[in-house]
Amino acid sequence: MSSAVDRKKRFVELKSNRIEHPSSISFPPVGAYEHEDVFSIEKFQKTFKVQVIKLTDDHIEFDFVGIDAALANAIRRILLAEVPTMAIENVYVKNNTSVLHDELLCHRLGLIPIYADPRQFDFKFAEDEATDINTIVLSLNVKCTHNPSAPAGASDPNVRYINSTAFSRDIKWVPQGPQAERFAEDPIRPVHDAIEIIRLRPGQELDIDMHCVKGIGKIHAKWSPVSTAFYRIMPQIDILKPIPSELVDKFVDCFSPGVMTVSTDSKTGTKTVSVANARNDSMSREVMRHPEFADSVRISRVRDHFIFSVESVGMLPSAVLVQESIKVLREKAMRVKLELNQLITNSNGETGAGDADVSEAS
Amino acid sequence: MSCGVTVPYYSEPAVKISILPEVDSNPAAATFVLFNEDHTLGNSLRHLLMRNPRVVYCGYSAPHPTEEKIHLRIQTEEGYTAVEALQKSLDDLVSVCDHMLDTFTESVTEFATAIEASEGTADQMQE
Repeated sequence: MSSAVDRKKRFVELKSNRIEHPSSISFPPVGAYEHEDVFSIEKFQKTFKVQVIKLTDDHIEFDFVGIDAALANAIRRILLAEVPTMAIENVYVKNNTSVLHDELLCHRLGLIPIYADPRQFDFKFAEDEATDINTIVLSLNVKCTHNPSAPAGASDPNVRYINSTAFSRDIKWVPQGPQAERFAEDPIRPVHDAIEIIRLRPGQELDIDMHCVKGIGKIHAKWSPVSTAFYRIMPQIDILKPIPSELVDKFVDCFSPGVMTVSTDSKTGTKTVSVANARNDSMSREVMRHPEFADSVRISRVRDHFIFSVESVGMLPSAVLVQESIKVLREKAMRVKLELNQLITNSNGETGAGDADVSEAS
Repeated sequence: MSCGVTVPYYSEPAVKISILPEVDSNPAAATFVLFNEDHTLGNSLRHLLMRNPRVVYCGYSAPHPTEEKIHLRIQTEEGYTAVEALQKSLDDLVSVCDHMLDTFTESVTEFATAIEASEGTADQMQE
């Protein structure tokens, strides 16, 4: 294969006013397939690489190398919309004398992330009864009163009143059946303690029961397990001819900090520039605005190198979310595969029965 | 309180997949309908199908934005059927996911162990 074709396959090139060969060209016309264009799982297993860059419970950054955008995007879409979590779905308002009416209050409650492992629960379908394996019960009971020990003339509501704000930490878990035992080590609670639900004044009261169920972000964003999940495609910067010493500083300023490195000859004072870390570049293409750098640099992206960044809302650690998203994709394929086989067997069965009738008649 | 209207927050379709009727019954071409699916599965399958040299044509579409389904069109060369091609792509997708999960888990474990080890040495240095 010529090196030009090879470049087209591996890189998406950025020009000053356009992007060259952006879409994948691994799909040649029938008969023109080269060995590497044909999908085989053995080849995928050889070329696919994962590298973790940063890892905390809240945030993971990792590289997927040797994968097509279709699959990388599937993972991203599943993270946003199809990894299940638990969220408040039904709210039973027994008393609400606050300034916010029930509907708005319920909406605010629904959006509070609940720390509960969704893998320990079942989906509750429309026809299902609420049980301890598909529902979590929470209650919120807050009453605002005057603070009898407040100094005279105090103006701060937090001093003058007791419970002047209802916080997410006021939401209490009401274990059902064996739940208390099952989740004893890691009790169910709101992920964050200090989310303001509503401000109250003396005499105002909330008395609310809530049912949490398992759901997915596709139905409502409150079930989305990530604050952000995105990928960038790995930048690749090639310096094609040496940058003159006097232009080096200007050249370096065209890129994001840390992308270029400058070495200075101790005797002559000549500066030479080289690429230190293309990964950091924002791909601003600033360098292409300066005619003196025309033809001296080539900027492209590595087509099959995806830099993922996933931030968890807090119900599950970020790495677990990625694992779950891969499982969801696998589950989708398995489901279709089973139902397809069933469809084929059923239709074969029908024609088979028809044949039998014919032979009987003859 | 429930006001008589129930919105299903999670449901599974009774029928997951069907095949659109064709004018002639050539098994080398078929349009599959996948219910409750979108670009996530549609584009992944299209990618894998198009890298199968025996598939002559493959494309997918979401016929209407409010209908939760996609159409997946597959045409194959003689002696191979659209159903076989779809089955192969589904098998491939499952294997891809298995390998992705294993590789990812492995590198996360590796990374976490490395962090722990380096923290361990940092603690020792402090001591």
